[in-house]
Amino acid sequence: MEKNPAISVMAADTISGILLYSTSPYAKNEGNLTIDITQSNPNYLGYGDGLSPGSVYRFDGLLTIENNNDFPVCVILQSQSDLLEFYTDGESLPAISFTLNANESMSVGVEFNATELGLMEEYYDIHILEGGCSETV
Amino acid sequence: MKKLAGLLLLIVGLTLTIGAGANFRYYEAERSITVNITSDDNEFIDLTPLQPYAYLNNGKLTIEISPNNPNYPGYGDGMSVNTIYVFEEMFNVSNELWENENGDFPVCVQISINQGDGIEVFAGNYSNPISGPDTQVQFTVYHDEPVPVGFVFNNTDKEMGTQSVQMSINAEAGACE
Repeated sequence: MEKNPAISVMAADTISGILLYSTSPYAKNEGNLTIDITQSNPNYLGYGDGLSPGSVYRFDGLLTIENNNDFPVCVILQSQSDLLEFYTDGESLPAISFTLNANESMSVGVEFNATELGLMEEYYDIHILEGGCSETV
Repeated sequence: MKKLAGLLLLIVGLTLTIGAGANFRYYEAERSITVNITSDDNEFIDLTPLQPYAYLNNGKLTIEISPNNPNYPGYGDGMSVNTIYVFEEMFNVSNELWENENGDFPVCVQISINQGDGIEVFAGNYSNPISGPDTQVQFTVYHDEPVPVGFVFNNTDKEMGTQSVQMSINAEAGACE
C-alpha cells in the first residue's frame, strides 16, 4: 500500500471521495475512467491493436484507488466477466477487497483472458463501504 | 411573513446540517473495460509469421509442416525420419506495447516447448543465436526491434505420421536479467 504517489494522472474519476485513476496509456476519461484497449483510445499509437485469442495478459497497477475521505473505507472490486480478474499481489480473482485508511491508495492489476477474436466489452463493479473490510467480505 | 422567513431559515439550517454531516455508508459504481481481441500479428506482444510453414489460424500463430497448411504448394509434404531440419526466422516477436511511447519499455520473452518432443527453438540466427537452441529460450524485445525465432526439428528415431507439439510464449515487463 502506498501513500499519495506523486504521479501525473492521465485518467481519473471520483466516487464519494474515492479517487479512481490510472496512469496507463490504456486508460481514458469518458465522463469516468474507462480502460480502452482499442484503436479508439486517443493514446493509440498506430501499433499494438490489442490482445490475441488464447492469451492471458496482466497489466500491473492498471487501476489505482485512493481514499480521500477522513475515514477508512472497504473497497470491493467485482468483475462481471469471466475474462476479467483483479490482483494486488500474485493471484488474480474475480473479486477482491481491501481496506483503505484515510489518504491511502492501492494499485490493482487487471488480468485479461482473451478467448475469441472480436471486441470484448466487459464491466466491473466498485463497491465502497464506510469502515474497513470485515474478514467475512 | 415573519413566520415564513423563520421556517425558511430553519429549512436552510437543516439542509446545511445534513450536507456537512452526511457520510455515505455504501456506494456502488460500474465501470467498463473494452478490449480488442486481434490476431497474433497485431497484438501487443506481436507474433508475425515469416516462413510459409507458419500461419495464423483463427488469429493464433501455428507452425505446420504438412499438406494441411494453407500455404502448402502441393509439394514437400513434410520431413522424414532420422533427419534434422533447421529453419531460421520462422516468426518474429515484436513489442508493440503502448508504454513504449514514453521511452523504452522492453519485455523479456520466454518460449518453451516440452522436452523430449525433438523440437528446439532459438532466437536470432542459427550460427550466432541470442538464445538457444533449447526447449526453453529467453530474450529481450524492444519496440521496433523484432527478434526472429527459428526452429530445430530433430526427427531422429521418430515414427512416421503426424506429431503435434504445444509451444508457450511468456513475456514479462522489463529486460531479461
